[in-house]
Amino acid sequence: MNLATKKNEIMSVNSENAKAQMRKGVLELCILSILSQGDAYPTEIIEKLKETKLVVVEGTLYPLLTRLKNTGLLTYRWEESTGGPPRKYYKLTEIGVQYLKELHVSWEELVHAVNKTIIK
Amino acid sequence: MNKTVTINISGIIFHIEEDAYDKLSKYLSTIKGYFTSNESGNEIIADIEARIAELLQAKVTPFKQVVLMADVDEVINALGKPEEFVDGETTNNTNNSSKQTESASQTGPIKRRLFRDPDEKAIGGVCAGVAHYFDIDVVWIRLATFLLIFFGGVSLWVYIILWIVIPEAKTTADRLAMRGEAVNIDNISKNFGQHVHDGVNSVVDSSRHIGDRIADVFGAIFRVVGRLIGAFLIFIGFMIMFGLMSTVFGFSIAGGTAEFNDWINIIFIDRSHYWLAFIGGIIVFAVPAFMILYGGIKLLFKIKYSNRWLNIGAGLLWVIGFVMATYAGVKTGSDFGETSKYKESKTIVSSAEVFTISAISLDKLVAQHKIEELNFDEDNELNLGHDHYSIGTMNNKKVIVGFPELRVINTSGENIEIIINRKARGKEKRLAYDRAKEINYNYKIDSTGIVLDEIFYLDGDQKFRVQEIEIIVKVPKGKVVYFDRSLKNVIYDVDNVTNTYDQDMLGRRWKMNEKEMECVDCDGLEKSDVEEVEKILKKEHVKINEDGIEVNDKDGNQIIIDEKGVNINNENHDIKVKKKVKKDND
Repeated sequence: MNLATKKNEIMSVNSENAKAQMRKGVLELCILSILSQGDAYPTEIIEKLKETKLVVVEGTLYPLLTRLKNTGLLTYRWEESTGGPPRKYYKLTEIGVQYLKELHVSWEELVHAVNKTIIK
Repeated sequence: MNKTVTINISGIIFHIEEDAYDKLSKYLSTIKGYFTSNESGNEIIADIEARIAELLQAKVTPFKQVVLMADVDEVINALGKPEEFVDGETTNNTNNSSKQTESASQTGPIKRRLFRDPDEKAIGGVCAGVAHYFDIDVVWIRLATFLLIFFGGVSLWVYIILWIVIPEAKTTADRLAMRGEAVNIDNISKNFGQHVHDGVNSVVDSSRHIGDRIADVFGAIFRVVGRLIGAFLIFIGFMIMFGLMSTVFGFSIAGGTAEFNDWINIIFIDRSHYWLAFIGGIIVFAVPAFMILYGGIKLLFKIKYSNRWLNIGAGLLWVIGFVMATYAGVKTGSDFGETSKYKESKTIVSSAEVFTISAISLDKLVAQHKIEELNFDEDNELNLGHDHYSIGTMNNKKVIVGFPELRVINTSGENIEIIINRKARGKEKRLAYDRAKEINYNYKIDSTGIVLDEIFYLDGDQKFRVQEIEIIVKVPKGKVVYFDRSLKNVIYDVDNVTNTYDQDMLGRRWKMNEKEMECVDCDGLEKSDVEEVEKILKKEHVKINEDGIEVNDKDGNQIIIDEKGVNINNENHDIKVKKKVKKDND
């Protein structure tokens, strides 16, 4: 399976799901955005999200990360930490980068629509 | 003193108080319960455990080595309850049901607002907006509007005023309010999704200028004009269709017995050619009519979708129809291609002073030959200029009946000569000649004259191929010919000095001059009776005007009819009929 078809497949499966996720506070978009700035392990992601108060409960993150990884948007590698348990460093895949771009466009459009509705 | 338990979380050893352990283990098992259905549940749990380990590690210091109840509480608070952080996709069922209840609670009575709908507009979107407001199908509103404007006496201005007064639904919120849907994220994204397909549309809306609005009005006017043209085209299309239908049904129903059917049989080479021509002809007219109708409907109802296959199919069908009709026409027409005649000539040695030409009447001949069902009237006859034909039956077979043409010309010979030409057409000269010979025509010659049959006929189901009979009587100079009145349907183009009409030559004697004929017993009545009457009128023997009628003759006799009554004056008598003068005007 080449990259393009795999990408399409993932896009179609996720487009509907992405909208559902948007309702939950566009968490998916935020995580991908954070990861686009550099690899991170969950705690770092949580910290950044907490700064913007986007995450109330940390637990939300884990199933989401796993799902993103399973769909092929993310990969991870293990890294040893001093004293603590080994850390899962997540990284955007090539598809993940593309997907983020698309999600970004959708987000802009949604913001536009929402703004038009609210700012009247 | 509290009992502690040693546990291993993500490979890290913790000393934890027993009640705190209980709580933590309960928490973890609840999480496990949530994620066991998920295939990557274990991974998620491992991640969460790693995080718990990390968090707990932060709580443990060399001075406080035991995890306390408060620590566990803090960790649980940070991570959240499992039901709170379940990912939408991993446990769809619970999520969906909560979503449904959520939206159900929102579909209460929401006040609709009246907007013009730019998405479903035909002209200004007024009808569509009203339809949304009352939650009725827009078709009914449009129909009602149409009827009210054209038959109900509601002016078009009412529509235009509504157009101006009602705002257009520009934003998503307007659209939702117009449809009476709640303004929430769900509906917006649903509505938004619909609009993304329109692309620029919604974006352009926000940057509308006055110029655009004027363009809109002009666009609307063009649309209205387009619709009117559409309605007109529909009308035209229907008229053509109607005409065709009546032709089709007229032909096939009445054609079963009427003369028309006979003509078809007699003209076309065979029945199949007739059907080819008929169906082909119908197609040639029906296809354009249908396309006009279709185009009109498209214009009227603003259907932009164009069916390529329909267009191609219609074009193809038309060509097929055209070819069919042309083939049958050409095939049949070719059988009219060549003309030939069969000539018969006789010389009459006549000592009679006057040579009489007369005819046996149609009625007599019809009776004699037992020709039935013969009718020479407009509905039944075929007219080809001077020639006219009709169809009857003889021995249960069709018989074509026609009139011969009589000409009288000058001859340099000494005797009267009669030429009978039988003419017909065919694909080849020989066939035409054979056909010509088949024409039944009789005449009798004796020393005093010639008696012609008023008609000729073609019996035994022969095809009609413009069969004609031409009778030429060649008369030498000085010979007198009498044209009997029975020749009225036969006489054709006899040159004469006075240019008298053929019909007026009947019943008189004519003498052959150098070239033409001259009347010998016309008594100064050189032209037709009608002309004579006109002449009399010109001499003012008769006056007709608003006063009444006055007739005078050369002897001084007079008849006057006017408001006084009728007055006849004669040398000997005076007759007066006075009009009664009534007192009441009843």
